[in-house]
Amino acid sequence: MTEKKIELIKRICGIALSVLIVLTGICFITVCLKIYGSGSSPFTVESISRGFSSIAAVVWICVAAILLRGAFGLIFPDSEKKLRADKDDERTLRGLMARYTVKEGTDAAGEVNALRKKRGLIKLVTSIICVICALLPLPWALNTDRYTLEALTGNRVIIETVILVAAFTAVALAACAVAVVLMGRSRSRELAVIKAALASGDAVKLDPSVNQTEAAENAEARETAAEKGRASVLRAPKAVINWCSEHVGAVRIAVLAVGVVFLVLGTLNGGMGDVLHKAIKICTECIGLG
Amino acid sequence: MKIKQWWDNHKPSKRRLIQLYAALLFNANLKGFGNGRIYTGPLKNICTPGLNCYSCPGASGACPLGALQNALGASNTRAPYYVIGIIMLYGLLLGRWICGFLCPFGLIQELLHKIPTPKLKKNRFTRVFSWLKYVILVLFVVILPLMYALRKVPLPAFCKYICPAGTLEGAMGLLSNKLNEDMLGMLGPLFTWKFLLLVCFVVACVFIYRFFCRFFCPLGALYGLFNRICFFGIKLDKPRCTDCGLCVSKCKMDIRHVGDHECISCGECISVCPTKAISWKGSKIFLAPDELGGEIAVSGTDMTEKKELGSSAKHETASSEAIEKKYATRRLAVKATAIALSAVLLISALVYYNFIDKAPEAEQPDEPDIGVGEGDGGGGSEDSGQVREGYRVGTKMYSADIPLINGSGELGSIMNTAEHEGKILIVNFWGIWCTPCIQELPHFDRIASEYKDSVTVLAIHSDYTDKDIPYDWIAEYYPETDMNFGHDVGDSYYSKLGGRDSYPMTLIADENGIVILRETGSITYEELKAAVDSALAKSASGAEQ
Repeated sequence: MTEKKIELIKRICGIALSVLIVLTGICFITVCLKIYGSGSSPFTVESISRGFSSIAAVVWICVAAILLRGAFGLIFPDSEKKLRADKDDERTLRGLMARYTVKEGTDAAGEVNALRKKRGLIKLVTSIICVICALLPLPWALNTDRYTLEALTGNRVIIETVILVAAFTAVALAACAVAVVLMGRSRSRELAVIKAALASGDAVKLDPSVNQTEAAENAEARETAAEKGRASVLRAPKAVINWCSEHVGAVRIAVLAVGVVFLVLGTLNGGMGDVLHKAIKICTECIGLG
Repeated sequence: MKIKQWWDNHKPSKRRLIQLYAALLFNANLKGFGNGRIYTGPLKNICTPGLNCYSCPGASGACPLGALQNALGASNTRAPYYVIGIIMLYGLLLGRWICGFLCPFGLIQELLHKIPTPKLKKNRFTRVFSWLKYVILVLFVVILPLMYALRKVPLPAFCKYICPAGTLEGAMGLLSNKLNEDMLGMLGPLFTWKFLLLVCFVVACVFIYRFFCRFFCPLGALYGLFNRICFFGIKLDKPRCTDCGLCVSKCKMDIRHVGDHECISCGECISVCPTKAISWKGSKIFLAPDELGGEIAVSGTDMTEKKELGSSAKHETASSEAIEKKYATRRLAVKATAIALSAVLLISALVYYNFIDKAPEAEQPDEPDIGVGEGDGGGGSEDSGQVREGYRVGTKMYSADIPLINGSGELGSIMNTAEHEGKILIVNFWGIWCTPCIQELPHFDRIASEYKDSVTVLAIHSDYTDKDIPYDWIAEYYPETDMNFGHDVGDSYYSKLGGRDSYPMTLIADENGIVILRETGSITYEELKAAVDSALAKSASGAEQ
């Protein structure tokens, strides 16, 4: 059997197995819903046995399919595929800018700067949207008047809070997804501009082995230009992260000290006992018994 | 040859062996799977580093995420220093190496992913979606438990509504044991929701690598914050890095670069780096001279002294060989010590939990003979002499002296449960840390006020020590009630009445003290009313006769 045929068979088996697994999952869900809908105190040994024995055939077929596919893999092992780096415009750009620089004053340089400013703006707008989505539900969620004993124990508070936060989270995630698409297009465009500049001679190669000082100065100048393009609200957290990266030892010592102090305080104030007291009881709601 | 090739491709790696070891160590209470009980000993105040539900019968320690939510839920009484301190220390020491090597649920996800189906690869959108776990961390682990804590109602929101580890390890582990059949009556809408969620996670894990880890796990989100500063894990040697991107391509997590907050330090990228820029933190003391490319680190306990290899002169070649041999011996010694210590730890844990530990399990009395009127609520007074004491339906309820808590939130008189014959007695075991218990207390309060003359309701709080008695809570929420509040230090009466670590539990005895209802789990107002009405009707018809 040729390798192509083997690969084709493996692919077909994989798709068939996927369908079987999804079907098995759907069967489990259907049986559980059926048992739950069958009346009060629906879950008994009899109802569960009856329900799951009705899908036993599907489950066994799925298990058999997995084992068969495994046996097929034993007879025709997977060949080692050469690892290739995924296409990543951001990484390609980084690599190009480390080796080349676009001449100032050219159309290409103007377009590159405009694209970078646009990306900075996209990041800023997305950050603002995420912050707004995080802050907007807070006054409602933190309004303690809503939290009466009856409301809390009746699940209404949970459902309302989750729906509200889910809505804002969906907006934030959607904004991030749109930003990812727009940033990707901007990087692709910048890559195309730089490649065109290279072809037309508007970009020159940096030679770090001959002129390391100039390369370092250029790199610093590019970084400064990029920093200016970044809004100050984005610069501050990056500065904190950079400081932490440079002073890892100090941060570690600080966190270690705080952790040990908290541990000791927690042991003294009875927190350890709280953990034990809860852990030795079956948390029925945690495991869904309710 | 093919078998050898298959074995080479599929043999368990060191990481897999460590994962299996950790799963066994954190679930060392194997006898729990046999007797259907969870471990209740003192070692459960230690949190395991990974996601491992403490309601799993085998769990040997507490889950850090569950402990954090409960600690935040109790933050109105004391600050959650202990759990936060433990998580900080785990994060600082190991970071997300815990996810890659120690988390039992991570192991389960990886094993599911090995099923040979087409896989969904990571992309820009999965990276955006990976931020969802931070939203879940903030909302379900921090905000909701804290807001509920303001009203002194405990709510481990993530555990209750999302965590699949609890459903798989806890629920399936307990319910699969025949001895826990009575727990099936507690299953309802919550279990249905969690089971559906579990099935979705399991199916998704087959197609998407570590689906739960990447997008939903708040513990991974927490540990990821420590990845840059943790002592153990993956590091990148930036001067050597050529930004080829092979490490990012090899990695199945949503990393931007090696060692960021998404990196679980599995080490798969180390072998693909062409310039060997990726290594384990702290590995310099083990590296052979040639792997350092001209530099070696000597005697790496507190100080390192770098020596450069010189030219290929004979005496320098001889000394480098000697140094290489020394490092090989050191590596072997450290590995052997680590393996020996790990084996000793595991064997000790298994022996301790399964043979030595005499953790205070419920000292339940022997199953009593069922007396007259088995299952039908007891008979008349001439039968009561034949009825044995017990806790099952049809037996005469075991009696005890219960200290009461009065409406001002102080200790009051003692109530003996046998002294209320002539009235129907409802005994409910509850805990302030138990949300379903708090949810159903109003039903008992209502019954107590509606049937004041014919029913006595006794709500007994479970205390680990005297300091756990919820005086303030009772004074705030039930200052004027027809219910009696009592407390039971060490669960002695609870165990006597057949309690097996799960709350709430309700028993109802008729006027003769015969048990007519015993329910583990939540009970509705309608069920209570039906049982009381039935007992009253029988007693009325008995009186007429």
